[in-house]
This record gives sequence, structure tokens and C-alpha cells, in this order.
Amino acid sequence: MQASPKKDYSVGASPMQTELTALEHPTIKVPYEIFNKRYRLSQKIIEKEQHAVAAAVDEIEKQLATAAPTSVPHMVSLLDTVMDRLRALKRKSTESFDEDLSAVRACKTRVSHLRLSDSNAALFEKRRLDRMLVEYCFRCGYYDSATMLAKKTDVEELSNMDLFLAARDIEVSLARRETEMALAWCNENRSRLKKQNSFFEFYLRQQEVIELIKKGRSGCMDAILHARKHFPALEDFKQYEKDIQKTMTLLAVHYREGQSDNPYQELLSDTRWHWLIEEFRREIVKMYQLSPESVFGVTLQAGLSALKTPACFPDPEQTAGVKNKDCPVCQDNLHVIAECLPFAHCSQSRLVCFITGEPLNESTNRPMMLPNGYVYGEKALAQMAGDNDGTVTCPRTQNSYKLSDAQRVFVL
Amino acid sequence: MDACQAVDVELDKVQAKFEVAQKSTTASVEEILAFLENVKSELQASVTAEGDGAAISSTMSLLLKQAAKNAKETATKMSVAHRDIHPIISKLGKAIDRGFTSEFNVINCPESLTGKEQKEKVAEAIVEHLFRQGLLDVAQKLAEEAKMQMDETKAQPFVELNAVLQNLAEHDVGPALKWVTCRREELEARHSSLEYKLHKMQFIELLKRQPVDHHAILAYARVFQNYRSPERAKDIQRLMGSLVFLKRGIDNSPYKDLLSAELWVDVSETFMKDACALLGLSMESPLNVCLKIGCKAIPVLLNIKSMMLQQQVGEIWNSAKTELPVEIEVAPDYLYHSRFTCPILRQQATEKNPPMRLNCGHVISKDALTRLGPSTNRLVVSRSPKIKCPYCPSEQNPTDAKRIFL
Repeated sequence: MQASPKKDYSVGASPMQTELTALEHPTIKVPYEIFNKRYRLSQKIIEKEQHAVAAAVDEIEKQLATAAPTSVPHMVSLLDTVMDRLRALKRKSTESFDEDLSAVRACKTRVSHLRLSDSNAALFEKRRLDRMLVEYCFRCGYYDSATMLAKKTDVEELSNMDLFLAARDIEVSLARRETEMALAWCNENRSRLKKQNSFFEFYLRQQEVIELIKKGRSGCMDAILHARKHFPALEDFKQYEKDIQKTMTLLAVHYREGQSDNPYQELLSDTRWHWLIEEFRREIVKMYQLSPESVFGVTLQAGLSALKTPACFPDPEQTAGVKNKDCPVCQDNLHVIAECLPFAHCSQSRLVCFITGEPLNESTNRPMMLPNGYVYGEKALAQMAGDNDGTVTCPRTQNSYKLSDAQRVFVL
Repeated sequence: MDACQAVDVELDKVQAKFEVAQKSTTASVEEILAFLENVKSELQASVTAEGDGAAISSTMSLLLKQAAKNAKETATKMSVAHRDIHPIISKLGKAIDRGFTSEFNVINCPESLTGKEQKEKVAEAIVEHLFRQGLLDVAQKLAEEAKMQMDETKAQPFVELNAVLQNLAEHDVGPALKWVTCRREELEARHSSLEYKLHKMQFIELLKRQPVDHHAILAYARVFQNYRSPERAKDIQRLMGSLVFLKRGIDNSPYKDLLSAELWVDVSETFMKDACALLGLSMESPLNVCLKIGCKAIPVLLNIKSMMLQQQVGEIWNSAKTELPVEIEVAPDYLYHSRFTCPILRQQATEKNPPMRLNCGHVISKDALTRLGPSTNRLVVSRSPKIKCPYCPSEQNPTDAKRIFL
């Protein structure tokens, strides 16, 4: 395959192919990152065992190099050690290879899911929707629903569940206002966190200090000691200077929580724990190369935008309702989401009959205007007239007219 | 070669490499273990020959040296074999990055999802979607976790609908017919064809049944006497006509379309459409529609985004908050509102600039109408303020134009 930096969205690619290109990077990149991480771990394990063998061998070589080599029984025992270490190496390397391979197979599962789009597009689209929902629920912290949905819709292997479930314990501990587990996690992933320029560990320590200060007089001394112990231990701790100063100010100025003009409210508020959980979620998502926004969210926005017409947001002064119960943007809940999104671009008029929802055109269903200016399809009007002896009633204004009063409308 | 295939090929390579490396390293470590075992027994043999405390002979010492060297080399080889897989793994990573875009955010509006109210509304939409899927327990759980007020009455109709749909999928029209009988009047007001379609499917099921039961078929056919409208007549004629081929097998006759599975899909869809209409609900899950269209829209938007950024007109992209920069094609099924774009000014109609119908029937926007008016024709000294329709020869007074509502 020719290496080209540009992705082909349009040239020769099928519509489904372009959808995969645009949306499925995390689907395949996340298990790849897990595999990559696993591979590095395996390499470390094997190298450790390799060094153990080498050390045992060195012992024999050292003995042989001396002028008077050791006794035979000692040499036999040295040989036994080498053999034991080799056996350990064999066992560990087999285990590691097996783990690596199962991580490869997890990637394979994702790819074969994506390739389902070729053979059974309808099933693929259903699965895609289900796993998008699962991922969104996980990201929002709706763990039980996400797990249940993944099980019921059979997308467990496609939705990065393990990653989110592992994060769950830490989130629960943060919700209990405990920093211990989160700090241990920072320790485990120090180099990755440093690479992604994370402030998370600092925030945790800061929170600990704040909690001590909140205790009042008795905690203040502890707070100072705690700050002295942990803040300088952080790498590049200069970058936190402003935040540290602000935190330490709490020692001097006493503000009660909930006081309205409190400039430090944000630091003292209990919602900070919740914010810490969200911050943690952001870090973990970044670490596994998941995008900061959920695929579900972006797709929902794009879909709503593509469907959003001025008619979905009628002038409040216009009494005639134009809401369409089938239109997603007109649904009560999605309407709120769509409010600040851009409208769809429309370069050509496209008419649909307000009554039947069918497209209107000059050949099969011509648009007709009633004397009050409202336009409907001739089919719907004819049917209405047939039921009511030639009278038609405008469903938006309730005015009645004769069908023969309807006039042609030409929309180009 | 498409991206998935490219990644798949790389994955296969990685997998094969792992398998080969695992096999060869296991073999070589077994080999060296056997060799060491040999050396060990020779060493022990030399002890029994020469008595305890004997020194290691020089030949033995050479052998041991060789064994030590081999053991070390094998261990190194194993770790190198594992390490050597690395290049092909990074190649896999590159194939992924080449085939798929990591940046897919095309809507510049994070606030539409992040607010508390917005999050609740999304959860609500998901709960409703789950109802439609018949996943009531998941919906309940989600409502609980998202701390939503759950409206039990909203779930109820979907339980019933899902049961009926399930039966239709198993070619059983019984529950659906029962549902129809309870709502006959409302359905008739909608000119619904559901009841007829259900009877038709039941009739076809009888035709398929083996052995053929002519009495049952004829008895059931009586049900069609309730459907006397001319458009039904032809369909019923076809149904009855198929009886001629009953012996020879309908699947080899001109009537084989009656056996197609699509008819069942169609009747299920008709059922869902009518049921949702009676309930005042949308036919398809709104969330499903949105995401389906969103998936189609994102590649198009990404494309235009990268084009704009390449041509250093990124500000246009960033400032386009009111309207998408490009048209997203939407299938006719998903057009819910009329969209009017003035054919002259190419602008979408708004409340301030509504579509106006000229006397001749042609529709242009109000702004376009104003520009056609006398002010632009000031040089032409004319007493009449008449304008000419841009699309036909008709002349008319601009005040005769009428605002229309689409």
C-alpha cells in the first residue's frame, strides 16, 4: 500500500468506507494501545528472566576461570540453578507470548466487526449504535446501565469495557473523598501522565491540603506540613505556583463555605470532588488514545445539525405550530441539544407535505396553496376533500376551503 | 485496499510473527535444557569414576564452558526474538493511524452536550430509545443512574408494541390483529392499510402450509369481502389467482413474490408506523435517525474542514456557527420540514425573509421580490410599478405577491 499522509474520504471510497475512516479510529486504536502496553510489559518480564539466566551462567564461568575450579557437586548445583532459571524463562516467555497473542486477538475482533460493514451493513449499523451508546454511558459514569446494555446487545468485546470498569473503582474511591487509590494510579502511570502534561496528581495533593484546612484551626498545621511534604516532591512543581499560592491563602483568609462573595468558593466547594472525578476520566481517556469527546456525542451533534431547519425553531409569536413529531430535532429532549448547533445548509429547496410527510414535486405530488397561503400536497388535499364532500380544512389554521380554491405553486 | 483490510493484513503479520517466535524459542530452550542435562550427567559420572572431591577435568571444563556459553546465548536469543517483533507492531500502529482519522470532531459546539440540563436530556433520549428497543430493564437502570424522573407510562405502550412485533417476526399475525380490532376506528380515519395487510399475510401463510388445506384457504378468503375498494380489488385478484398454482408450487409461478420475506418486513413497518402515529410518537427512534445521519455527515464535514484548513481559511470554519458550511444529503425519508431556498438569492428563507408566491405561481423570497421592484428599475421610466416574473413572461404588481407557508 502506498503510504500517503492524506486520508481518502471521497476518492474511490464507498460511503461506508468513509464512515469507518472518520469514526472508527478509537475502535481499533484503543485495543492496539492495550496490546502495545502488554507487549512492552512482556518484553520487560522476558528480559528480567534472561538476566537471571545470565547471572547464573556467570557464576559457572567465574568458577571455570579460576585456577582451581570448584568441586564437582558444587558445579552440579550451579548447573541446576542455570537449568531452573532457563525453565523459569521458558515458562514466563510462554505466558507472555500467550498474553500478547490474546491482546492481538482482541484487535482482530474489532477489525472483523468493522469488516462486517461490508457483508451485513444493517447488523453493523445496529452494533455500531449499541456500542456508541455503551461508550457514552461509561463516559458519563452510568456504569451499571452501560454494562447491562453491552451484555444485552452483545457488544461487550467491542466497547472498551475493561478500561472503564478498571477506572470505576478509583472513581468510587474519589466519590468517597479518598485520594489513596487515585494517587497509586498516578504512581503506576507516572511516565504516561507526564507525557500528557497532567496536573492530576497535583490536584489530588491540593485537595488533601484543602480538606485539612477545612477542618479549621486543628488542621492548619497539618495542612502546612502536608503541603511542605508533597508539593515540592512533584515534578516541575514551579508550574503549580499560582495554584499553590491560592490554596495556601486559605490558611490566612477565613471564608465560610457557601458565602456568596467568596472568591475561594471554587476551592472549598464539595463539588470539587466531582470535578476531580471528571478530571480523572479525562486523563484516562487521553491515556488510551480515546478522543476527549465521545463518538456518540459528536455523531449526535452532526446528525442534529444536518437535520436542523428553521422550521424546527419557529418564531414564538407564530402561533401555527410547525413541529413534526417524526423530526428528531423537534423532540422535546433533543430540541434542547440542537438549540445552539448550526442549521443545515440547504442550496436547493426541498418540499415535503405537512400532512403526509411525503416529498412534493411536479410529477407525482404537486404542491398546492390554499387561499390562506398554506401549502400542502395535492394527494393529501384530494383525500381530505374526498372524505368531506370537496371541503378541505387547513390543519394549521383550521380554515375550511373548497378544494377547487387551491392554487398551483412552483418552487424551483 | 481499504483501511480495515490493510490493518487486518498487518495484524495477521504480527500474529504470525508471534507464533513463529514462540515456537522457535520454545524449541531452542528445550534443546539447551537437554544439552545441559547431558553435561550434568557426564559430570556426575566423572565423580563416581574418580571418587568424591575430584577436580573437574580439563575436557569437562571445556564442555562446561561451551554449555555456559550456549545457555547464555539461548536466553539472549529469546529476549531478542520477542524484541524483534517491535518494528512490525509499530507498522501496525502506523497502518491504523493512516487508515483512520483520530480527529473527528466536526461540530464546534461543545456546550450543546456538556451542560447539566443537556446531559439529562441526552439521557432521556437514550432511555426513550431503549424503550423502543424493548430493553426496558436497561432503560430503568439508566434512569436510576442518571437520577431521572422516570415516566412509567411512557414505557408501557412499547412493551405491547414489542410483543406484537416479536410475533410478526415469527409470522404470527394474531396479536397484531387483536391490536387492530381495538383501534379500528382510529385506524380507518388514517386510511390505514394495516388490517388488510395482516389478513393478506395470514392468507399467504395458509397458502404455504403443507399439506394444502383448501377449505381453510377458501374459508379465510371470505375475510376479503370487507375490502371492496378498487385499489384493493387488484391485489385480492392476485391473491386468489395464485390458487391456480397451488399444486405446482407458488415458488415456481408468476406469484412467487407473494412468498418474499419483504412482505413481512413491510407489514411490520406498517404496524410500527400506524402504532406510533396513534400514540403521537415518531415512527423511527429519533436517536437512531440522528446517529445514522450523523455518521454520514461527519466524513463530509471532515473533508470540508481539512480543505478549509489547508487553504488557510480556517477562520471561516471556526466562525461557521449558524449554518453548516456544506450541504449534507439526507434521504427523502428523513426530510421532515420543507426547506425553501430562494432560487434567485440562494438564501434560506427566514421569518423576516419568507417565501412569496407571485401571481403566476412562482415562488421567490421576499428580499428578491423587493429587489425586482421599481427601485432597481429607476432608470426605466415607467408609470406602472409592475414587475416581470423572472421565470415566465407574466407581469404583475408586486403587492399581489402572497406570503406562503410551506
